[in-house]
Amino acid sequence: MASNLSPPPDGTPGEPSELASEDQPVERFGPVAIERLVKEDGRALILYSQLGHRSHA
Amino acid sequence: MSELRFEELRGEQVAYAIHRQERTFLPDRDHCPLCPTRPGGPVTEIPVAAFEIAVFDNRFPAFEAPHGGAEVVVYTDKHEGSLGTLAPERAEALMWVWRHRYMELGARDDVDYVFIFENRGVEVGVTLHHPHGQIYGYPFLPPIPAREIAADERLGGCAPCKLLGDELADGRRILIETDAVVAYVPYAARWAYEAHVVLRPHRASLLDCEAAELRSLASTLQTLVRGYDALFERPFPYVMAVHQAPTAAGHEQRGHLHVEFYPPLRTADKLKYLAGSEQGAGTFISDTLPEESAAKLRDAIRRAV
Repeated sequence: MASNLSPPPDGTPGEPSELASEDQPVERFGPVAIERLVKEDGRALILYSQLGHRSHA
Repeated sequence: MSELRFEELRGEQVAYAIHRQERTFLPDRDHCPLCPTRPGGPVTEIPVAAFEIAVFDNRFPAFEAPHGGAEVVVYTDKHEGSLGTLAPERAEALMWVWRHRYMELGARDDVDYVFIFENRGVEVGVTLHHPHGQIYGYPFLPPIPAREIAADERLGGCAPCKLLGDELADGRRILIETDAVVAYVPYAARWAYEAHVVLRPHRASLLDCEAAELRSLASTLQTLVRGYDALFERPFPYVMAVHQAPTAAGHEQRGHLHVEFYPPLRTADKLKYLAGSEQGAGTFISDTLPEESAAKLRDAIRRAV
């Protein structure tokens, strides 16, 4: 995880997932996995990846 | 924070987002804010080493909570390319991202209309070249979707269903047909190479689509964009507008998912400007017949496949 990103706090709409980790649950929507992060300035950042093709670090 | 003012003469809202004057304007590739952050490089909007599709709150929003929202949708971590050159699987995933954002933004009390769009090319005001689109969550129903609902009432049913039937019966302006999706230059196109991409079955929004329909929508959009690029053998500027049902209470299911393209080019090097008649009277004057444009676009699509 980049130092200026963090997972969202509890209570974020949907089921927040942690950063890429094979043994942690991933929020799914159809064929895409969803990773919710919060930028340093508080803005939301959502990373979507095709299931089975997660490529971000 | 933006300010909304109602323009009484035209009966429409005007949004003042003066902070947008400061937004990043055509940075060079090394300073693209939509690329992943590179080691030793400036921190970008997406500070990870790689990604597939990213969505983030616009740093310079036209609308923001609790009065709507503005998001940026980055199609790829590659700086070059377009909707047309994405891998088919990525384009299909993008349809699911759109669907997800429609669902989440549309669920908000301060969003009455979720508008997914893409501006492509400096000719339509693009400020970043990296392949991306945007989403506005309007805190009101904008005039064009409202007119589409009025068209339903005027035609006594779903207007896009009726117009699609008319286009298929005529046939001269059809560009692309799949089992689920049809692309055509509309009978009364305003732009020389305007095209509409319409779901064959009645689908109010992306949420109502089957997976195969989303795949077909992605494929058709890509085919059309590649055809556009082949038409004049140059990246083809356009505004792409995804129209679907409003999410305001009482309006759900009042719409038919379709994607409209408004390309400003009328020849390889001539732009259509919105001038006196278009701006002052609201009437487009076109110097191109839709049937002739459709024939040229069909040839270009064949060349591009």
